[in-house]
Amino acid sequence: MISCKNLVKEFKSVQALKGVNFSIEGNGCFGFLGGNGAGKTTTIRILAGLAKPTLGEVKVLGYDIVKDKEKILKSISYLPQHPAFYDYMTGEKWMHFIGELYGFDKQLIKERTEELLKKCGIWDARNRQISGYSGGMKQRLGLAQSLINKPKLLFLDEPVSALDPIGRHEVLTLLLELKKEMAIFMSSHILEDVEKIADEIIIIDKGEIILSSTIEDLKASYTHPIISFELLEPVENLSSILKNENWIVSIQEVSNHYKINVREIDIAKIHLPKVLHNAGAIITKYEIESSSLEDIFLRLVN
Amino acid sequence: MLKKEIYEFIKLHKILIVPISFIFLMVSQPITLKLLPKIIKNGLPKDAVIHIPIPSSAEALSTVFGKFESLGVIILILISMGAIAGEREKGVAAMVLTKPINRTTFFMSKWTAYSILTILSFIIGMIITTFYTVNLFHNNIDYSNVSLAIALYIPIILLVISISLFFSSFIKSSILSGFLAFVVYLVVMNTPQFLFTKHDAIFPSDLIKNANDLIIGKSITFLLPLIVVILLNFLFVILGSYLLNKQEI
Repeated sequence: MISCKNLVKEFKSVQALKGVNFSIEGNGCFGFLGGNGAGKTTTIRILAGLAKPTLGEVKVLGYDIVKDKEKILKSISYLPQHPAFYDYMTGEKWMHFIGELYGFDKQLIKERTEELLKKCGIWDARNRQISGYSGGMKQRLGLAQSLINKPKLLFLDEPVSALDPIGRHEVLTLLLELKKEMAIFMSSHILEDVEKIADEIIIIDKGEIILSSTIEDLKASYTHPIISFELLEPVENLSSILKNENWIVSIQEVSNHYKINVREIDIAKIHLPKVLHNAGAIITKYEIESSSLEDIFLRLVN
Repeated sequence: MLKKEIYEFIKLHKILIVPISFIFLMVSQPITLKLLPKIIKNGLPKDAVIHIPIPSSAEALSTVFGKFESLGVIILILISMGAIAGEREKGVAAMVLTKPINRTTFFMSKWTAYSILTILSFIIGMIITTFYTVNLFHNNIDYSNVSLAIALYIPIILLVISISLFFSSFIKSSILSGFLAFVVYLVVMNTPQFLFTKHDAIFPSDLIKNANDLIIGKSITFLLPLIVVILLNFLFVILGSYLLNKQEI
């Protein structure tokens, strides 16, 4: 689907991408993560043919992005972070306009417009001018129009950041369904959402890919299980007692709430209650958590 | 794409605004000339004797292009400067140009649409002004000469659109691109005469002079400046679409 070899992008004085290497294959959802200014949008803009690579080889759907751009554009779609439209058009008119750019015939455009506007929940607003749409509605229209060519590969730049919680949930549900039929390459910094729908994760930091892995492998190899517990009242010196145990990686302490990262969950399960008992602590809450993508991301990027 | 541009003109009322502003601009010229003697008389002491010749229809009409040269060009640039730059500013260009559409097609549909709009508006404005002038000054005029003069002025209008879209294609701010287009237009029109002392009447501005002369009945040759203006049009259109293809949207 995508292969980037040593992709470099330089702007006047800065090197935004310093040799990006990664590839993705097959359908599914690929989460593209990174902090602000890490190079996410630049990479996506190059993959969608809006910007040109300074150096390196970029192939999308097997075609070279510089030489065969027009072949690629037929079978991909790109939705920018802030989709913009001709505001004087209605939602339906915009769909027809985009359909005509692909050279589809009227009947097909009509069918897909109805299907997609309904799917994205803005069918009722189809006859209103886009200038009157809310941010969430524009995002939905953006998604609907990006599906009109049934893309094999869909680029989404922060697709859910502008939506309210209900809208986010709806769009994520829709993406879960779509990823069966196409590859979705999605950048986001809402890691919770990426965790829900992504199959693979690619993390970029300061213009370089620092990780590319399936979400299961990532969790298996990068996470330390977390045990959190709450005590009836704070126990003096508990942290320093815990720090002496070699199966503990780190401790976070907020009054009588404790959160500890452990190396081996099985050892911790046996030893932690003993240690707490010996320290004279009275446990009111005890929970074993798996660490979230956010924990992993923060640990990797810092 | 061309269809969309025409739809935009209708939706944003450009299809009415442009011809109406041209009509006002052009018709105001013969009116000013007609009223000029009265205005001057009112401003003078009663016993002053002054004789101002009343211009003929043809003379009045020949000054319309001069008027269009300043304000008309500004209007042309104002309506066309955002054609590409404005769409990039809003981000809608990124939505459209990631679809399988050739950027040269994108550029040319805008150029065609704005050319059709402004030329039709100009012709309508000139027709109304011509008949109004003849009515106002009560003497006849050679209509075939006027028609040819209008035709000669059309490449000048195209040149304004070409320069305006040229800058719009690679400058991200529409105001800056409009300003530069105006400056470059003035340079193209006014500097060659100063740079070359030998005057062979091949400069773009000679085309306007020829159009004016034609209306008042002088015989002219217009082929050379016409070719120069058409070549300049090609130059700006080709460079504009080339630069748009090179741009990162």
